[in-house]
Amino acid sequence: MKILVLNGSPKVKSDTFRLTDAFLKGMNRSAEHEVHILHVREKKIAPCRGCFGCWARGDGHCVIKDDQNAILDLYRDADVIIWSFPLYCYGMPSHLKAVLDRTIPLVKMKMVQEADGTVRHEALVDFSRIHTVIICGCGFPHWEGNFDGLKQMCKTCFGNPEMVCVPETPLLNVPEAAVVADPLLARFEKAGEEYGAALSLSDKTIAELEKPMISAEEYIRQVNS
Amino acid sequence: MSKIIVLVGSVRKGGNTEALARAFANGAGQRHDVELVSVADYHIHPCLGCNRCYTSEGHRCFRQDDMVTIYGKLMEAEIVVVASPVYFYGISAQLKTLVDRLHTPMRNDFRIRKLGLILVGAATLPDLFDPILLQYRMILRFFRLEDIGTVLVNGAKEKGDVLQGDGLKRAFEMGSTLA
Repeated sequence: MKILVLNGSPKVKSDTFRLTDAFLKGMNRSAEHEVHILHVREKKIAPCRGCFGCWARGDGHCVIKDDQNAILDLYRDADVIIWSFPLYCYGMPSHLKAVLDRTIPLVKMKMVQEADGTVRHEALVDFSRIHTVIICGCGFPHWEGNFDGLKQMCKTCFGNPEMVCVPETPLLNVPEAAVVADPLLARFEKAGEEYGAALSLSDKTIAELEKPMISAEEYIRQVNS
Repeated sequence: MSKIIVLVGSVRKGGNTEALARAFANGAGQRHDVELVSVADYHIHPCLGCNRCYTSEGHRCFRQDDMVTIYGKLMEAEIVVVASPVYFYGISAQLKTLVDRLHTPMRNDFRIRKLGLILVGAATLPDLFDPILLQYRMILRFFRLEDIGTVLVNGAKEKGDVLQGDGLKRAFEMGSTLA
């Protein structure tokens, strides 16, 4: 399979990306995949101008000449797309949001209504064959409500993607926390293997990945020391 | 009289988002000091998550770009209104860049007490605004801000579409009824 990873962390040493890396390792255990890791921070992506020039053009590309058109080519070719990023103000970091905003050339202005009543733009790409995974980390100790907006956004944008939202991810950057971080990385690797085989994750697996590594009280104590 | 900043998240000059922001400003301007800050007029880099602002003098961001001006404006504001086109069920990337850059201890000195929201979507999907409203409520809760209201307008794509319907009237009223 062709796997495109959109690493949306602005940091070179991304905590969330360590989880994604473990997940990929697990996926590669089931079969040898073609993995393309794209570090968005290294790319030049201007924000969408809302000009709809792409719809006038109709060839799946944007009128702005920067790195986005190459990303669009990778996007339409991929079997699996993994969006990996930290939660910034209850959403994606802005430079990754710019990539998402500029995937609009992959659809047409024309709208179609599905049998279940949902409305979508007619696509230039067969999105049903692209499987989306969201791996999102967060610096808060618990995540009641923190991921709700993002989850709703991704659900509607990508049509029920697999979503894994992990609290306390800065612990992955603390050597002393390896005792709890390493088991989490092992769980991500195992989950990657499960996903590679079935292209889905069970609710049980997702729950194990999203479980805080340590209690909220302990986490707050660690952050404040 | 309160100082109000309206953050306009569209790069399209004279577009629907700007028109709604101006309608709000016309309403609120009767009793308050309102300023529109459009992302189209400022060059802002994304937050790098380096957290240097946590230790730097005056919580200065190492990136000395146009955000410095916006920090200054927000420092004076008592009410902020966020106005954005809906792009992929979120606020525009340009406005998200500005919002991400507010993750700075500088905001502890902000005097903002109230927040409002204006959204414009080209589509007419029933769940178009839901993700942003969820994020908006989290922000109100986190910063303990009072909600002055929301104006949600869908089906507005081309410049001037917002002239149809009652969006401009609702935006004006959100401003004119502001105590």
